[in-house]
Amino acid sequence: MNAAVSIRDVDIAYGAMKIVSDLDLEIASGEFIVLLGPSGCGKSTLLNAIAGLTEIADGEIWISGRNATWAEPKDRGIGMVFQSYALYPRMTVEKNLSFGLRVAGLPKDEIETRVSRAADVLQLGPLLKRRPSDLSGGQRQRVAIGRALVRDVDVFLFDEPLSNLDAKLRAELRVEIKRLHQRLGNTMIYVTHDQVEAMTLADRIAVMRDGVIQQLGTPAEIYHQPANLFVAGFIGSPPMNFIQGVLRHDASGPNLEVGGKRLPLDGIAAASMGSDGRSVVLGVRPEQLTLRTEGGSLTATVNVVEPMGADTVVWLNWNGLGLGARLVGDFAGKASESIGFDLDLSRASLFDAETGERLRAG
Amino acid sequence: MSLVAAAGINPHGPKPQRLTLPRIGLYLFLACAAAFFLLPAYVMVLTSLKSMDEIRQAHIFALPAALDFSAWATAWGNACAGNECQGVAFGFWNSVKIAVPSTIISVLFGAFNGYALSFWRAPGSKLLFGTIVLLGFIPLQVFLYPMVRLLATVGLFATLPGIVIVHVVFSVPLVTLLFRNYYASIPIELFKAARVDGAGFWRVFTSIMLPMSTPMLVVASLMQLTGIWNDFLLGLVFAGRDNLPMTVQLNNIVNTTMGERFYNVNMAATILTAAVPLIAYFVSGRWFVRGITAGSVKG
Repeated sequence: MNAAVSIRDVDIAYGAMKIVSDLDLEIASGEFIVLLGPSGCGKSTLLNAIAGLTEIADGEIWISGRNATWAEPKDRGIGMVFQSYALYPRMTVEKNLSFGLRVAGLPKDEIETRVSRAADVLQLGPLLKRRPSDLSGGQRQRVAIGRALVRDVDVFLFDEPLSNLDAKLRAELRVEIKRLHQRLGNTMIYVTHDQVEAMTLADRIAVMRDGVIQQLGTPAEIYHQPANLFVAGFIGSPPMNFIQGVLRHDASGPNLEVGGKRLPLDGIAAASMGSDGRSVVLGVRPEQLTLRTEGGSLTATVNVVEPMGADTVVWLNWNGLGLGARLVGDFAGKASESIGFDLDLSRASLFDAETGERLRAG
Repeated sequence: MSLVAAAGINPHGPKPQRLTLPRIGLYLFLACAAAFFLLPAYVMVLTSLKSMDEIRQAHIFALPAALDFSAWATAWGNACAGNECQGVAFGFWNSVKIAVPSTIISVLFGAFNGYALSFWRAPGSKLLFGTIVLLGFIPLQVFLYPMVRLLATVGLFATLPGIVIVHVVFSVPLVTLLFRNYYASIPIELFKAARVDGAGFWRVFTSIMLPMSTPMLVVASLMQLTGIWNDFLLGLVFAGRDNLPMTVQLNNIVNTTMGERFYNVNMAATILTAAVPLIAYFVSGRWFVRGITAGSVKG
């Protein structure tokens, strides 16, 4: 694999407190990778370390085939976009874009060419003579992206670039960033706590918690085969339903014993692996729960209905447990009515209740 | 607005009264306070415009019978301090020669210190900053004698560079504190962005941070200019006979013990001495307020 960025056994510490420990990550050239996690999980710290803005305590960072562990930020071949835009307030958009090039001492015509090219890509042409204070949030962030663009770097680093924008702009700029990646083909490392951004943008997602990568995989892998309970609960909205119980094997096959009731686990290959009496958690996505007006293998009470237009989220009470179901279109039922439902177990996950790790078949 | 009026809808309900008793009391108090501070200035200006004959009649609040600017000319050009009759003009230019370089150097030095301490976090920088601030609170009189000896050793005692160095040294802690707190309010990401763009220690300071510091530069310069212009003690001790600042010269003129006291000349000389800081405040008051609140308000 042609690694654009290779993080090898990296430790990052503030004083005695370890933020990131023994982290390995290989990022392929041209890949869009998202570091996803709750605040304080070390994702921004890791990005700063890649940029050379935070020193690492141990390990190596390789960028474009060179050991950049001790290189200055400017010598790493990276461009960075920050959450607060971090535009130079006393400079025009044009000067903001060209600052890095002027510092590097590039010839004037070269600077002009690069600035106008970046302005074309990001549609900043009419704004070049304005000050950052005269721009809207979305425009500011486009300038910030442009500042990374003009430097002709191999690797783009994004530190929660859309978090300061309102929902509509965020969706627009998200698409713009994806288009930019398709057009340029650069390696991009993107930090966010927003799972929608992660799912829509990433080639691969690294879900982090407490400075450790919990799972590294494509958005589909992360969503459908979460490696542990944390990843399963963090990704997806409404969140995955967790049903805790005890694994039982009887004549009809594997069962999940939940509060005296038995739930057949035929569809899950991993269920046959667990020994009888093992404490497990069954994870079912809301869209894998199908409501039935007639029949249905299980019966629950409707608690709350949340219509969202294109789809509807129905919150059920089953056996004293709250379950969320997502169905396409509208829902005719009312609260406190009784309703039947089925679980699609072929795509469900099974976790060990103690370690939280996914049970795998084979 | 016009739509609402056309529909015949106006705001209804009891309106608060403009002038209530507590409000009248408040205005009265403010008027008294203003008069209290304005009265001395009023007397000074009037007295400086009167002739000595008129002053001897002792109607200090009365307007002058005729405007007489001769006292101002005397105060500026040939009021006597002892045997020397060269007015405060000599002191004025000395003060300019002391205050201007001292202000510029101490403000730039303080801005630089604040920048280095805020963004570069060298090992021990917190301790260093704490020490600077702590030493800034020690009364400078304590340092007078050691400072005299030090400057005498290097041959700068009673010289213009000597008094400038003394002012800079004693101002740096306060100015550093001002700028460090100002820079602490600037998002660290701005600094990081400049680093990624390849700017080094000096480039970040000169291209990014200094241009952003205008409000604080104005405030610090104003404070320094006023403080250094109004200084008496350091000027008296360190400046030397040829460089005595305006304040010292004024004292010498006003406190002369021989012959008649020319109150009109004394008043005019005092106003002339106080004029520079006064004008500085009037011109830059807007900036002053902006600089003081700059840290607390976003944007």
